Amino acid sequence: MKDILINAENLTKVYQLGTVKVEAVRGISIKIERGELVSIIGPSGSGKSTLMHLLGCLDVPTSGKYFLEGTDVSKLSDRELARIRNKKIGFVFQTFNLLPHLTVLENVILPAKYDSSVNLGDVKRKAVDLLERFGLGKKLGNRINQLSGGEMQRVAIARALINNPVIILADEPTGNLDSKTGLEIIKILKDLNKENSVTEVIVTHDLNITRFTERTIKVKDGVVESEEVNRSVEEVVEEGE
Amino acid sequence: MAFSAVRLNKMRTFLSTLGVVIGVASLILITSFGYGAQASILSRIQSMGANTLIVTPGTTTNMQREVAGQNAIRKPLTYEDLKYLEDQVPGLQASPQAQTRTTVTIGSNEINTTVVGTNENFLTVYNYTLATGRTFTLSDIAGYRNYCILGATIANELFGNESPIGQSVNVLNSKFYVIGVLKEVGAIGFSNVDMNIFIPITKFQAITGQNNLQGIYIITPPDISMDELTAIITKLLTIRHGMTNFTITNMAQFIELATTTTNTLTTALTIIGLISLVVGGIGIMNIMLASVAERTREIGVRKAIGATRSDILLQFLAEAITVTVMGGTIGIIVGVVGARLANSISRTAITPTSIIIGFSVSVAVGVFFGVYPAMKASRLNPVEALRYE
Repeated sequence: MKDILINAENLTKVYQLGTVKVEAVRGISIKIERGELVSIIGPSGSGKSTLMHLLGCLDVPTSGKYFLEGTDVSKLSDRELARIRNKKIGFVFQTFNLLPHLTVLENVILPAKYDSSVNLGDVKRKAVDLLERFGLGKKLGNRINQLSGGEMQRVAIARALINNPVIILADEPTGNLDSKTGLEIIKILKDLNKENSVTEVIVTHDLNITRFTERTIKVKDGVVESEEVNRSVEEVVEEGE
Repeated sequence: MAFSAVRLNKMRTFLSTLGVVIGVASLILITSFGYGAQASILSRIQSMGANTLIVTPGTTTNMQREVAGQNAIRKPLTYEDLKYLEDQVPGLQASPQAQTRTTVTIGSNEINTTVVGTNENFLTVYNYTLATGRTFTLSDIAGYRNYCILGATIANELFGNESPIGQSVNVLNSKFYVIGVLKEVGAIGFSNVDMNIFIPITKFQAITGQNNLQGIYIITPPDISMDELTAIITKLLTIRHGMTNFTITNMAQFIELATTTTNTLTTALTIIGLISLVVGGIGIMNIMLASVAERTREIGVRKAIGATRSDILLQFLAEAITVTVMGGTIGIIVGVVGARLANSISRTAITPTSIIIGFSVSVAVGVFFGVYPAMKASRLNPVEALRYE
């Protein structure tokens, strides 16, 4: 039986820019199963970022329904949406979006600070484990500006995982990295998907990345243009190996 | 979290804290002068006793002045008035107030002093105590004797460790023999009793030619109420002068007047202090608004990872309050130390009230001026905040 994690039905999003109405998303329906690794691809201005914001509960759709784990989240209040983002969603951004005045460890445990139900001691232990797994065990107390781009993105992935989300949404996670470092990041995301069954959606404009995902959803002009299942998912072979 | 943001920009935090430090310190320092003045005036007045009446020349009724003419109204109080009252009211103790500033010479020393003409009742009436020697007798006064009683400080300045009793001092071109020295009274406002030289009123008037008294201080006898005595004196002096050209004040009224005046003073000073705190608060609001704009991205990130509006609101509010509480605490310390140091210039008093006000006002400033920037931060749309460059 299929375990549907995300079920978006006919989502639209209309922005009011002054007197002009901009239809960023014009009726998109998407289903994502638990444990899937999906890429959403499209040129800039295609509405893929808006779609990610809707899927990430950063924004609510103008119309349509969005079920996350069977719950309709398209009508929730600000506070309830914040709670969903905190507990169920992990974001990885192109520009990392780490807080520069906090240490590596403080950045990773930050989401847990907004969740009163967790034990901070456990969270710290988990954060240390994750950072060690990502090869950052010696940089726990470093400030963000002492890290390389690849290291920053690994810190961001650790932060996204800290509250055990049901899905990781990665928005152009390799966009600010060179191709070698980008591949390292994709490898980490793939390993997490395979070894820890983390459901992941990678939003990108880079066709190369779609080779590594199981399914690709092409978005153009605010609608799904095509959707294809990748029959031969490639493994990441890092240069020099 | 509030502290980590505070260390984010040390210089800016320092400057905005400084505004609150100066505000709270000046609030505490300024009000300490007000409370100090109040305390010293009240303690002096109360030391004279609540059953004292003061008769002063002139009235406050402008109408009478218009009708009767300046001179008639100005008809002064004299020592004869005092004697008359003592004759008419049995048991009444009264003391004249007449004084002039001069210098006193002994050897090569010349010291500024105030010579006060007084009578045999002055210890009782003014509530002074003798340290050594004796007070004036009725015959000293009636006999125009060249005797004087010295305040504690001037006795010390003139004679040091020697006993002043029996020594002579040159005042107002006359030679006076010291018969007594007062115990220390302490400075009260602008007058310093300890620097005064007291001589018989009769001699004072004979030398200076001043027959007008600045006032008559009267102690109410125990068998009569203050109101009754006021009525009797009003009647006696009105008949004697042919008009009511004097004012009778009692200590209760004086205390009330002094309290009102110093309260007004303290309130005015407090308001000035508060204004400087408000200026400091505006500085904080300015800094917080800049901080919110600068950290839009951070706010977006925090919202994306699950911060609610109230989380963001509380975060920025906590930062504002951290700054003001730090500033308030430092300001209180600076203010208290400053007031201690200023005590040598003018009497200051630190009350728990001023510390509590200083502290709570600085917290209030933090809340008041922090709320708007914090609300602004909490209402940011996460998508737009994340996009912010």
